[in-house]
Amino acid sequence: MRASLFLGALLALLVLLAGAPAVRAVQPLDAGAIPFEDLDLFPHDKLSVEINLEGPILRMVSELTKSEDPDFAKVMAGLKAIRVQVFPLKDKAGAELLRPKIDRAVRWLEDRGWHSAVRAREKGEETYIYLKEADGQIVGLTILSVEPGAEAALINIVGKLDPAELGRIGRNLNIPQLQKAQPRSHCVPETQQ
Amino acid sequence: MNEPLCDETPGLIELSLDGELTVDEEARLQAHLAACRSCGREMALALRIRRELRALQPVAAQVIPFPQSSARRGSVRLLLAAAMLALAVGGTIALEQIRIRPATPASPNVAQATAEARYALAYVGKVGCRAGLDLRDGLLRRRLSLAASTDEP
Repeated sequence: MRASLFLGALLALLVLLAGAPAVRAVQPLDAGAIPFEDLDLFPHDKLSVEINLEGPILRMVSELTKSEDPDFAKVMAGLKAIRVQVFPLKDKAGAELLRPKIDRAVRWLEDRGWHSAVRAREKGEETYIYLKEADGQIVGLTILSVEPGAEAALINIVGKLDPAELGRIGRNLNIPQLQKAQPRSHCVPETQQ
Repeated sequence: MNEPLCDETPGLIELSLDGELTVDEEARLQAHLAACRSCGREMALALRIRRELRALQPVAAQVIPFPQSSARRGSVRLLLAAAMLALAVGGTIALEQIRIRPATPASPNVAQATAEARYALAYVGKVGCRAGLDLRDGLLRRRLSLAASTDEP
């Protein structure tokens, strides 16, 4: 009797210790988040850029930039996650190989209530912009972009966001890595308008 | 004549046994003991006690086991189990708190994260421009509303 009680206590200890990570593991994704791992769009070891920023560090980014760039800080304060994967595409063949995966990702998004805001295809370049809405508010933005001969990208921004605000801030940011992309006439930064 | 010495006899007997009386005092005590039967018995008793005490064997130190009932042993195990369970629950909660609470990023990490967040937003701007879409004019929001309305039955 006493021995079984003792064993029971030990078993409870083991269950508690083993069960804690499992409880965390089943936490669902945020409404505006997409599972990059499940979509498996690009080979992980060949990414040229990978960004994984989550809530706590985004809040710290917001605090850090509050005085120098209040608009950027305000956007950061509302976000839960930013994930980016950029995969280099040397030629059109690489883009063609990617096409089935892009189509699958697009289907995944549409099957789960993401609304297509942009589906553009021009000279081999493809751009998909999807938005996820919850309770009348945009809670996620996903961009799939393919530029044959340059790169393909998957971007997921999670949180309460305003796409117009994101676009405005994005256009005004001076990022050297992105300068090779020539902006169209109507996309020049606001300060130059 | 002997009366005063009778009162002193118990103290003198002790001193005599300890060998602390002078020769004269010892002679006087012995003379009194020989004459006084009561004091003589006192002396005989003192000698006997002293002899018997010396005859005792030294007692070795030993540990006397504390009597433990089976109920007591059981309650000790129960307490031990309860303590382990409390430790497990407390430890698990503490571990979860540590896991859930994100580590405070160091300043260089925040600077790096800022650069990465700017890159991500700039990429959004770049892609929007490349698609011929000016996100600023609210086109996305209008398209979203349109898409939502067409989804309705």
